[in-house]
Amino acid sequence: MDLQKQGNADAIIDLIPAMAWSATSEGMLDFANQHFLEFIGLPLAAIAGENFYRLFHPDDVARLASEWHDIMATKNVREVDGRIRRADGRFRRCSLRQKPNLDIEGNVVKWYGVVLDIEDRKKAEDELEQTKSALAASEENLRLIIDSLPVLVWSARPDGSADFVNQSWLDYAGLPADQILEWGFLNLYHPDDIPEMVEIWKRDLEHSDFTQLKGRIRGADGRYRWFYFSGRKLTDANGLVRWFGVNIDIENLQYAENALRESEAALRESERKLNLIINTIPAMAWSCTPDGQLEYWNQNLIDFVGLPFEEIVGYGFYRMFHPDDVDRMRMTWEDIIATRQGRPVDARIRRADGEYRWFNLQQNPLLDADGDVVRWYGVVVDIEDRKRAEESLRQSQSNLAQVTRMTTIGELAVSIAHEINQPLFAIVTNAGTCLRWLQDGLVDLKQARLAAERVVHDGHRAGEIVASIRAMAQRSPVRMERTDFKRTLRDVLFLLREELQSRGLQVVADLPPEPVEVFGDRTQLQQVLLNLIMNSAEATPDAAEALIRIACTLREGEVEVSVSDTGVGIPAEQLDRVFEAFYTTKSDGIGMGLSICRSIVEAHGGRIRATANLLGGASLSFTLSRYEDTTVDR
Amino acid sequence: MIDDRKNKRPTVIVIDDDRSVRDALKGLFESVGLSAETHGSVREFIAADDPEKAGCIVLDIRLPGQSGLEFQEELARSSVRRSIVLISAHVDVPMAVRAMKAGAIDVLSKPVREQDLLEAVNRAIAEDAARREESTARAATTSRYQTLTPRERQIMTLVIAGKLNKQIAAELQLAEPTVKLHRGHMMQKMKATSVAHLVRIADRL
Repeated sequence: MDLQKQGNADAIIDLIPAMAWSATSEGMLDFANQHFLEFIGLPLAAIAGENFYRLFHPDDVARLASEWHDIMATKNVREVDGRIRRADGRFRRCSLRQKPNLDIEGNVVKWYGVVLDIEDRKKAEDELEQTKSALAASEENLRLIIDSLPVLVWSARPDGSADFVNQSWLDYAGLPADQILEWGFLNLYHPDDIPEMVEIWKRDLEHSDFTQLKGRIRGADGRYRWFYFSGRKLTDANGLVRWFGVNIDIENLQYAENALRESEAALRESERKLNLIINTIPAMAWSCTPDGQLEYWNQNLIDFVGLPFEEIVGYGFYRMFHPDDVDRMRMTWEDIIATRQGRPVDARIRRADGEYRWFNLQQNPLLDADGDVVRWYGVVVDIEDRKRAEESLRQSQSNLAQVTRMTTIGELAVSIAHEINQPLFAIVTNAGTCLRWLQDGLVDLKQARLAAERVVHDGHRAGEIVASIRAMAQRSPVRMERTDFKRTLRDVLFLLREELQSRGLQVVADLPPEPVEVFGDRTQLQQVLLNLIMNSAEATPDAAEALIRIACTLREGEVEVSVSDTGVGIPAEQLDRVFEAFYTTKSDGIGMGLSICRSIVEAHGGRIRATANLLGGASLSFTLSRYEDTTVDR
Repeated sequence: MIDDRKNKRPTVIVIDDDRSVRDALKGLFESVGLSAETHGSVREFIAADDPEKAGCIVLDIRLPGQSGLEFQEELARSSVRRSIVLISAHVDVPMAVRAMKAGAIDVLSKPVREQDLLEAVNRAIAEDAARREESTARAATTSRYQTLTPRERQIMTLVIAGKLNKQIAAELQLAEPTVKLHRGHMMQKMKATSVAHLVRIADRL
């Protein structure tokens, strides 16, 4: 039984998952169980007695020996840690425990002990320790970060009260945490912002996972600055709810934003004003695409033409022009688009009530860096009244010209009467002669025929004179057309022949051999010539060598006509004044002659000037446009 | 022959600057058997003028250069006598008076009725003819007078003064038969048929 018992005990000792040993009272190792021997990979003999010290790490040997001696001396057992070399040569931390078997007197009979491999446990403990310190360092780091962030960091409870604010918060407010936490922060908010902020905050606490709001917070210096609040709800594993957030100083941003908003408002205002102006100015403003399609037209035009924008957009706008103007406007506009050169053009536009009014259309291209047209802009200005005034002025001028023409003709009446009398006299005489040659007994048909032929010739001549007078006297609308200048001059000289002769004046016309065709109104051109020649005649005192020279010079595109005399001339300082209305040197003149000449010449697109002749007398010259086949009616 | 051409067909000289008028007048005068020549100006006329040519001048008052009126007055001041008919488109009274004073036959205004013109021209031609006749007669009288002896001239003067032979004889202290003889020669030389005739002839001297 005992043996069996003993045998069982050995088996247990060898099999338990612990290293067991025994030593004599003097501390000499005398047993190590199987587990122990396997662990160290040595036979008992190698560690028996005091040889077990070789198992210890060299650094631990002295300490462990000292401990062991102390334990043996005091019998005060304890747990000792030390490193033991395992079979694989690695030292593993182990816990060494011992217990003495005492006799009745209390003397040590034998020492028993176990060695526990605590390497794995120790390692775990070390790692835990390391984790803990790393965590602490990380927490510190986080706090440092949170406190150093240039934003106000906070956390709040589900009811909205603050339970944390960072150092930046405290620094900004210049207050200890207890005056900010809970609801203390509200005292720092701008009174004007609180109602709205609290409302949003409460709403988001209840219904949202985050919040965003803006408000002013009073700083340590007592000044409010704008902050942007951003908070987020966090629910931890335990279902605990907390809000975390930051307030960012956006004072400068807000300032900029306010400025921006103000400038935006100003911009909107100015846009509104501009719009108001564009739609209110008494002109029609529009814009077109680079290819000339209408894309915008202001309210004025829409109101004026009474057509919906859809009908004039694109190329639809042509329909508002007077039918007689459409083709011209189309050509002009296409030319403007092609040349990218805006130019004013007049046209009639139909009003909603059907009345046409004259407008002046002007346009300008907006060019990009490459010189390409981005858009055409233009205005359309009502010039009906101006046109009417112009028309009325033109009518007045025409009437005045007519009146002065009639006056001149009146002055020439005696001469003209004489001029008509001549052929009339010849006719009457020739008719009598003709009859005489037809008398019985005297019949001479040859002579009668000659006389009759003279009647016909003189009749034509009388007719021509009458026609030229009528041409001068007629009140016909101005007709700009191809005009034979030589014939015009001849007609005038025809009318003036007698007058000039009676004044003893000789006229020399220095004309080019080829035909001279000009673009103008024959009657008006006659009047210019008549006035200039009569002026010369009146300026020339009776003298044998009195001469009026009319020269005509052909130039590129124009004709220059000059009327020179040998008369009293014009003082140099008055050369420029002679064309002014009511300027006259004649006692009975009204001073309209040259003024009318100028307006006629200028209406023909020409110029008129007065110069002094070297040998006395004056020259008046004017230019006219030559008629060419390419000349188009303007 | 030359005399015939000059005298038998009087020539109307037309001076007018208007060719139609010139041609018409020339045609008219030729239709009544007058010869006509035309000039456009006084200057042109003077260059071609033959004062011996019988006839008259039809002159336009208004002319380029020297006017008809001035020319007429100039002629009047000179010894040359021409019969002139003035025509003008418009004739006013002072102009007509001035022309008539200078001896114009007539002053007519254009258009002139051809009959009036022809009558004036005929009068002018007649006057010219008369003047030419007168002039011829005067020349003859003068040359006859030149043939008289001083005594015959003395007696002619006294005869014209209406003195009787006896009175002349007493005044000249000649015998009456001597006076008669001289007087007979004188009357013969002067081709006077009577005392009255002689008086008329003497007027031309």
